[in-house]
Amino acid sequence: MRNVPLTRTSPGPTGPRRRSLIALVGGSIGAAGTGALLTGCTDDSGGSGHTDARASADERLRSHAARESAALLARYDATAEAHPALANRLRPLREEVARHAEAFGSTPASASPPNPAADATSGGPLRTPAVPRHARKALTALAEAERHTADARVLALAAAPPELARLLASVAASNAAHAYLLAESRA
Amino acid sequence: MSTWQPAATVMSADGGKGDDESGPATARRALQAMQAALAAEHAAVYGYGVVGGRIEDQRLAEAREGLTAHRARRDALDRAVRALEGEPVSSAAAYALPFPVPDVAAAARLAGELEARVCAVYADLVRATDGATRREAAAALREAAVRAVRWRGSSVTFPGLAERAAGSAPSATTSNATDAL
Repeated sequence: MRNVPLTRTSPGPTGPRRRSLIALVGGSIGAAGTGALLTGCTDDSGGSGHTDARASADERLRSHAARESAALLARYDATAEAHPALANRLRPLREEVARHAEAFGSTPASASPPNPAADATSGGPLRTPAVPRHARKALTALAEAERHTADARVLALAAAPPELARLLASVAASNAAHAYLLAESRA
Repeated sequence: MSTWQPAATVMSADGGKGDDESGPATARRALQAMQAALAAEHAAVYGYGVVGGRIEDQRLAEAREGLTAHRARRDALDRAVRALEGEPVSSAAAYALPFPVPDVAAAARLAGELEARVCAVYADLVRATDGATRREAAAALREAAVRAVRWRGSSVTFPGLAERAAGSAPSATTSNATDAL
């Protein structure tokens, strides 16, 4: 789809430039899985203490981002459990959050903890979040959690290497979109 | 209200490659990504003109809001490119639409498509820059993603990341997934 952008109807002198911009965009599409690239960076950087430090800082950013997604997942699950009537509407968003967690390196098992206590070993304690008794308030709480997560990711991406920053920005945008949809769905 | 600050765009490192050779190359990539974003904003401004001509009255305010936002981003990017001593890409006199827009439904679909394309260029701009410019690009991506779900009624797992779009096909192409929250 992105390869057929709104095209200029007159070729004109800017034609070549536009092609080069498309080539630039195409390059990003062609990039191999982002996760693989980033893993490569981390693995290849054993050369010096400097790159080691950077690699472990990157790894910390990724695992922190994964834990934030896992915390959101726990909140979705707790909300669906407390309000079964909401479960179907929440499911698509929950699935997206699960994919975010995987993109940050969580295994599917730890990304969707049926038993939150099991996660304490891998990623720090995940408390079962308290869910408001009223469905409308529960949706508000979930929307706020998504928004806070988006904010945290935007802060985190300042220090991230290029590809991880791009992923964080995208997931932050998705979190913000979820917050919007959740807030809308209360009506 | 966006503030692009190109002084902060040059990256300190690029994917683990040597720092010494990355200066000019990353500056060039930043400028290219900025030009791509500017071109997409030109197209979005044009496209929203079409949307505004077809959309139902109840959504006209939403279309105006989108148009205003994209004009502001376009102007800020134009200034940022100049500040990097680039020649900003100009708008075309007219653009071929990705699909015919004869009615209200197509107009909303076009708006969603415009926002999705803008998301992609801003995701790339985040990657190509750092500092305040990266932050602004991330903010622009976020705003566009929220407008995209407003128009489409459904979300996308990784806004702007085409290489990850395969799994999100259900929400990426349809505007009738109203039950998807």
